[in-house]
Amino acid sequence: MMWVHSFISLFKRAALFVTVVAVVIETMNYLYVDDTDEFARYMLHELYEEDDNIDRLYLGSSHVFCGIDPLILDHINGENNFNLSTGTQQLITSYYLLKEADKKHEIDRVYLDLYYNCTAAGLGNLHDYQSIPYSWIVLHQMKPSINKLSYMLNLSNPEYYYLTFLAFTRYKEKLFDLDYVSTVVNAKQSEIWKNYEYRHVARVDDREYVMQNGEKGFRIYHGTPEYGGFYRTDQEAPLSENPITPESLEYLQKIVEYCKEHEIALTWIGCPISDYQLVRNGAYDNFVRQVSELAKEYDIPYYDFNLCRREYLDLSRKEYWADMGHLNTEGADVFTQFLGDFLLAEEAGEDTYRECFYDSYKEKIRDSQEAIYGLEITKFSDYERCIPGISEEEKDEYVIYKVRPVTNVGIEKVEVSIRVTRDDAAESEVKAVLYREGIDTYVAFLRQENGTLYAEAKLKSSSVTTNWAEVEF
Amino acid sequence: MTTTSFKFLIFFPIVVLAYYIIPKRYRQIWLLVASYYFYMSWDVKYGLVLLAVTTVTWSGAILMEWLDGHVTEDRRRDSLKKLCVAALGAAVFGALFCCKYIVFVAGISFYTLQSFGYIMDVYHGKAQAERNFLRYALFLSFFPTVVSGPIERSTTLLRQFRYKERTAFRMENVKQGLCMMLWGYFLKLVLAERIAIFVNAVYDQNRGGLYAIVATMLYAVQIYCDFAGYSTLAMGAGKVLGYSLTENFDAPYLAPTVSEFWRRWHRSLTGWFRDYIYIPLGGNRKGKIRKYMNIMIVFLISGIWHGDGWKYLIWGGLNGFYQMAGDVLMPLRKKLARGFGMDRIGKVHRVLQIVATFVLIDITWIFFRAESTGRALRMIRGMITEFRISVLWDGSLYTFGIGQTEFIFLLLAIVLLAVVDYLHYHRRYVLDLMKNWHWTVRTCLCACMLMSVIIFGVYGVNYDVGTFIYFAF
Repeated sequence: MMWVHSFISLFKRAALFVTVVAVVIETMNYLYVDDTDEFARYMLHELYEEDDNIDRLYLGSSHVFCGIDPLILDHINGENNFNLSTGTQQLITSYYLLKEADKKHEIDRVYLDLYYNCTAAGLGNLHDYQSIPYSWIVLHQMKPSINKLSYMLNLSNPEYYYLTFLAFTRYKEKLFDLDYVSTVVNAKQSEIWKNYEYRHVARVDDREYVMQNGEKGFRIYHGTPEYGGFYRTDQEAPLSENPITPESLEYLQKIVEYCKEHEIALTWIGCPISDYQLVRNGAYDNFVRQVSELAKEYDIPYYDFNLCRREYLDLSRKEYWADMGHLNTEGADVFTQFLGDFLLAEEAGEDTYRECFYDSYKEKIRDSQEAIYGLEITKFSDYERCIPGISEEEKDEYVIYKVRPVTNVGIEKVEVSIRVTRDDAAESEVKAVLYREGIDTYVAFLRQENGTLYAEAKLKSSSVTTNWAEVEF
Repeated sequence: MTTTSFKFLIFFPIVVLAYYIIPKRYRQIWLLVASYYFYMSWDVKYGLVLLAVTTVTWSGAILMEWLDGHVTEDRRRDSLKKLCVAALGAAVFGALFCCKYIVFVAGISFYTLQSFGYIMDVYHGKAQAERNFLRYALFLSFFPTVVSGPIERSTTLLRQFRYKERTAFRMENVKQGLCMMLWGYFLKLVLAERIAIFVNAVYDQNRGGLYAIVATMLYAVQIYCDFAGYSTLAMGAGKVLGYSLTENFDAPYLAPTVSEFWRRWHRSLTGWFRDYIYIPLGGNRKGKIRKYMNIMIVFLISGIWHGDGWKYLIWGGLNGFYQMAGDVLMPLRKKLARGFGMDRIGKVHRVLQIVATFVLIDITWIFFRAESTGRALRMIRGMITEFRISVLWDGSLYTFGIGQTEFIFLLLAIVLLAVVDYLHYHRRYVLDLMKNWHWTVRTCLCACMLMSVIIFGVYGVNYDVGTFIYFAF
């Protein structure tokens, strides 16, 4: 009997210890984990609250939850559609979310969006430290389960487990920032947070971008591109020959196997991304080719709607886009309507859309009318090219920007003009060195000056400037 | 693998679990394997050096005992044994010199002293030569002590290894050991690593005035928490496995004199120097002059043991000088105390003595911490010439990586340390006091301690947790 007494005593101590630890962890998470602006919180809550059986599930990243409205699809196919996409959803997340949804629902069809940004080098290296924060956002909202535990354990190397299992440790830099804690707590005290509503307003200059929850995982995104079209100031490397990483391939295979085991019809899709983004990358066809080969290997239907002929689906109007990767609600209406009709026709074996797709994106762009899709303004470090004979000391004095119009035509048809102004009251022009090479324009000016670089681009054949952007320096 | 690394958090439970699962007769062999794995995780070559030192000293001790039994002529036997000690000393300290100043081998400073201490104990007949090579190998390589001590004696740790019943599982040992380890982690991760941010910033920027004064005072706490943290961790780890290690620190900053400080600071090293250098040199038995010379020799050797720069020699010399001056000025100090009536207010006198000792020790730490002697001297000059009292309230103190709230937290944590040390000084150990508390209070306290290390510890991806300061020695 002695050992029974010892065991009970030990059990009581262990239970109390675990309880205290759990209470402290929950308190710290409440104080520090800022999920007040996370769409995944709202979306997963809706999944758990969904009582009707989900028939069709859509998985992918943010351009899927911005682009596919399940309510429209419900109307078209008469089934219960649910959009289970999350921001920058990698394939490991898709796999575990699929299992999570499949626990409660008998899913018939899964549409998995394959996005090169989430599967290629970078975010596609699923276990790297830079890649795992996107999973943490989803994990934090998942209910405790074996599936969640498995996701946590497989997400990263063991050295990052503490960040995965103890969410508040990700906010260590904010530990003594009481203003931050106060902001988080106040936001969590709000009715919006308590009632699982989602409303995010981003203000850029005088414009307001409003995002709010639709239904069944759809995010309503109001807004159109800032300035005169798309523009980016970051660098993007073209996709490699076979861009999908081994880790992503592993989870892609797991998804295929899971669907086969559970008799779920899996379809791979490519949701629309703007032509600006794809033309700018320049090697999207590498991704399309690899996915097509994999689709053949696994015998999975694959429809990339970026290859759609414009007579079937034309999303080239800027008014359809909130930014270069996300359709706004107007664009989402157009795309979802098309998607619903397309999938229904395909399932029925109709040949309405037989001629719908190009074989490659290059072909599509070649066939498209001449256009400038946007501007790319990036910092440039090859000083010699712009200012021949520049000394090492002088290099520190200058800053150089490269302005490139993203277009499907040659330099002879494009006109780029640059203006650089100083920030003082007179807004006088800054003395800048201009150098042109091919389609690129390089602008060099003194680092000590502050001002605005204003770039415009238009087709020579057009009288209207189609794209413009400005960068503060 | 350091004891604060994630690998150790995996390694240690595995070692402990396996240790208590396997039959008793294999447990020490398992510990030996684990200890070599732990040590060789830095560099496989380190293991070879340790093995060489182990083999040479083990054989030497057995040879000395063989001489005792086989050489009957006293003078000849003594001569041969002295020759043996000299040869072993040359081999051990030759290895120490080569591996400390030419090719760095972690832990060499500690286990060479431990092995030579064993040789001396056998020579003097205080200990028997260990016949079991594996047991002796474990004595030198025991993973909690191998890298930074405590420098154990054959009469303590080796003796414990001889008693098999030590290896029996006792829940009390495990609980006490884990509590000690938690306190060790608290000292290292919450205090030492946090203070290091401030101290490194001030010392790297060569700041003077109050910045340098505060940084130096904090450095005194940092080095204490760092080394005592490691030692407590080692003691805790040893305790979990059923072994008691030497307590390396005994509330040193509450010492009223420098000589008492040295009886409380790094006790295993100080004790080693006392027993194997100071006393053989004559100690205090051969007159005042010889006593002062012996003190100076011991502290200069201690300086050289810590490193090869002049700064360590000055650090050792200063400590030796303090003790000599303290002894010489003792009558004068007593007179002054009587003159000011201090002897009537014992507590105030004692506090003043403690503060004075702390200041004196702080001065030596400047040399210990600074990059070079020149920098240390500039820092001391800067403390006086750049002194501005307004630093305390103008907020500039919080611009060295630790903000105001964090600074306040740090001071509170130091107060907690002071309270624990005060109790310790008066032989009231927290672990013993806890035994009288209700189990719910004890359990909650342990859980909170664990969480405080996780929450407030400076570790992880965005922080580069430094190795323990004494790893370098």
